[in-house]
Amino acid sequence: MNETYKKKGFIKASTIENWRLYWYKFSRNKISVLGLILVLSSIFLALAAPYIVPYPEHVKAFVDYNNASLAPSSDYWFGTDIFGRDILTRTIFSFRGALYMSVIVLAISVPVGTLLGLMAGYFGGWFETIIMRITDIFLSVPAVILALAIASVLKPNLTSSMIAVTVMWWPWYTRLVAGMAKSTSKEYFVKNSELIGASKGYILFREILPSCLSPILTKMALDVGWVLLIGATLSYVGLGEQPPTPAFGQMISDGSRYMPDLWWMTIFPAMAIAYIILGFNLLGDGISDMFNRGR
Amino acid sequence: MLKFLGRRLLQGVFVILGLSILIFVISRIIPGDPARMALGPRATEEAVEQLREEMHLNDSIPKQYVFWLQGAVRGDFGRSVNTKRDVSEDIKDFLPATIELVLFSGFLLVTVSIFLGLLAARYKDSWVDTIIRFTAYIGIAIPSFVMAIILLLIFGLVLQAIPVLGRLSSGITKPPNVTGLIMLDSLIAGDFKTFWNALQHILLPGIALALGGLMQEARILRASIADNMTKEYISVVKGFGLPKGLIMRKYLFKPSFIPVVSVMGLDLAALMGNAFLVERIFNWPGISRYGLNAMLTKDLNAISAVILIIGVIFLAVNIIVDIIIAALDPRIRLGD
Repeated sequence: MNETYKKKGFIKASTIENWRLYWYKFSRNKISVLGLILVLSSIFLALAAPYIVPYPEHVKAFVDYNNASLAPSSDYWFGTDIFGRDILTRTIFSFRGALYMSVIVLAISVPVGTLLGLMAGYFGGWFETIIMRITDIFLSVPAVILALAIASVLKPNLTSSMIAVTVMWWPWYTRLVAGMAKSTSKEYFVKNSELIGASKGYILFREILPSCLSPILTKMALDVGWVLLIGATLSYVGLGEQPPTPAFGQMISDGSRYMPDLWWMTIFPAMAIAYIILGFNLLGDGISDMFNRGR
Repeated sequence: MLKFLGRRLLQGVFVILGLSILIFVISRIIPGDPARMALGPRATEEAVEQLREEMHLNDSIPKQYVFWLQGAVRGDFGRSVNTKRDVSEDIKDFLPATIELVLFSGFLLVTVSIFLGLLAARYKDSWVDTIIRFTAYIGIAIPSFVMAIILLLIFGLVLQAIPVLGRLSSGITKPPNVTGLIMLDSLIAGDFKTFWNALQHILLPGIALALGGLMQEARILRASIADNMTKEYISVVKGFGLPKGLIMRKYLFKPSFIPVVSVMGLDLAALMGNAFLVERIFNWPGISRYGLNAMLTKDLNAISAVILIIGVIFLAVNIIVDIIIAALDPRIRLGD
């Protein structure tokens, strides 16, 4: 009893120590910290949008022709669109839909993809063959194209675009995890568990999964940006969030019709996309460096 | 090597078959009657029923799939609702433009990324390296369709430096059709004026497409060279006193290119995906613009055909990349 207690305590302490070490490594790298700041500020903007934007009513169908098409000024920092709606307000509100989409898509596709990958890698045989051939099929065309096709046959709204991207996203994780699970399952500590008679679930989740975690986390951080980009692409062609609710792609598409005269309608939402993607890329690189013991 | 190639091709056939099932399933999720949509709301009930029979819509789903696949293998994808022509004819018209754009953009991607990667590795940790790394992040963060809009705005509308939109200016006659690629055709015909005009038109969409992947590859190449530089075998050959150029060429570059080539393959294939929006923005008469229009108007026959053809091209690129990697890395080549 005493023995197990000690052991448990020891394991726990060492993990905390590990995370401290990881954080130390992460915080040494200025670029990674910048990425974290960009990401946290994006999340803050998304969550706090209704409380911090100057004109909350401009998110809905709102018309104010007296203030339409104004260039950036002290009243409207990012200018206004052709209906007189504040671009700053609409840009900040677009963070909500964009991040919401990324989070939902990854929250579904990562567990599904990881589970299939773990099982394919560990069980092997015909199960692995079938799963891997199916992932090959999904990865045989750029994700954007099939996502566009799926979204186009469904009703055009945010849910459809999330379904379309989710369907396209799990195979990446399956492929990533399957390779690692396969090599890990040959390690002695896994063989030991098997000999002791540990359950399949225990081996998959407690023995193999932890050693696959760092690439999964790295990929997730990068993927938030990519999912968001595909979401913006879908909404650019009119297959995402429908007006009057603002979305990056839709704002860029609307604005590009009035280029170059009303440049602020396009440039600011575009910069917002770049801001988020840059943030998640820097964060992803930072996480990957953090887990790399060598450097 | 032959065995490797044979297995890869066989695998490819299975992937394409699977993709065709996937596309078929997608095209059948759609609510509504495809025959009714093809004929429009004013067609008579009999005409719709007749078309349903022609399109095999009254048969069971697996049977429908078999009919569709038989047509697809013969190159018969049915009629397009939009253009009222056979989809295969539309594709014959639109595919060369996309191939030209993707080849040009791929050429930029490969040459410029290798140049910048080598430059960054050569002047590691200097200001050159910093600039390249910084622009790499910018290149990744700005989506290609935004880059396309910005380039179009700056060079096409504000500076009016070069003609944009389409493949040729309206006054220029198209060269005789040999390959379908205007730049190549005009060179074959010896028509340099047309070539110059076509080059100007392809420049901006090509850059917009290539930029993201290009900067990323330059970074990977730099990291890969920097990584291999510290390997022991490099110290060994240095110790033997081999000339620096020879070490670079023979021992350093070859292994350093392996990760770059595999990412490059993915990126070249991804160009087809990004081309969807870039072609739309630059009004480039290619298959991606055609496919996107088909998607926005639910033109099922055209959607299925475009996705299937892109799948085949994607697969071909991947097989070529695998061959190049096998040629670079004896472990992969001899491993099988």
